Amino acid sequence: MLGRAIYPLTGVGVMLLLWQAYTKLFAVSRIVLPSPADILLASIARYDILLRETWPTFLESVYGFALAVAIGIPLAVCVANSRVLNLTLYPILVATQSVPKVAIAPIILVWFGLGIESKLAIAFLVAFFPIVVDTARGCSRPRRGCSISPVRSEHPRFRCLRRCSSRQRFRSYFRARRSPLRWPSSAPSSASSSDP
Amino acid sequence: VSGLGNLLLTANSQLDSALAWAALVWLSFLGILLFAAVALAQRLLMPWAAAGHA
Repeated sequence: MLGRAIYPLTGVGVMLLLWQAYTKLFAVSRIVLPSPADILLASIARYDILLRETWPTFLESVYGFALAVAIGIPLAVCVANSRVLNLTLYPILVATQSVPKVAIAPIILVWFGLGIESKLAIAFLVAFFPIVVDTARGCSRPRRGCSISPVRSEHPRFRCLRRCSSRQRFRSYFRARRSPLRWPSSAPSSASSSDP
Repeated sequence: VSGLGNLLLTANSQLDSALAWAALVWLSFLGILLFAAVALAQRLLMPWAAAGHA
C-alpha cells in the first residue's frame, strides 16, 4: 500500500520543492505567488475559518452530487433502453454539458439566489452529464449481441457466458436483457463516471 | 454567503494570497476526500469491478 503511495507523494513533494525554490530564488511577491510554506503557515494560522467554511462547501458538493445521481441514473436507464428517448434527449443532455458553467452562473444566481440552491444547481450540472452518459453506456453494454464483452466491470454472474454452452448463453442474455437496469453489471460504470 | 469559494474571493480581494491559496488547497483536499469516498463505495459495493482503476 505504502509502496504505491510513494509515487504520488514524491510527485507532490517535488512540485512543492520546485515551487518553494522558485518563489525564494526569484523573490516573487507574496501577493503574486505565495510559497508553499506561506500557504501552510496561513492554513495553520487560519485553520478555524478554513474548517468552518469547508463544511458548507462539502454539503453543497455532496447534495449536488446526490441530486445528480437521483435524477441522472433513472434518466440514463430510460435513455439506454428507449431509442426514442435516446434520440430525443441526447441533444439536450449535450447542450447542458457544453454550456460553460461560468457563463450560466449569473443566470443561476438570478434564479436561485445566493443561498445553497444556486451552488446545488451548479454542482448538479457539473456531475449530471458524466453520470448519465456513463451509466447509459453501462446499461446498454450487454445488449451488443450475445457475447457480453469481457469488460473489466463484468459481474461474475455473467462471466461464465464466454465459456458456457450457447443455450445457457442465450438464456443469460435474455435474463440480462429483461432487466432494464442491467444491474449489477452496469453499476461500475456509474461509479466510474462519479469520479471527479 | 459562506463556503470556501467565498473565503477565496474575500481573501483575494484583500490581497491575502496566502489565505486564498490555503482555501484552494483545502478545496483540493475536499476533492480528494470525495473521490476516495466514491472509490471506497465502489470497492465495497462492486468488488468484482477492477479495484485499481477507480
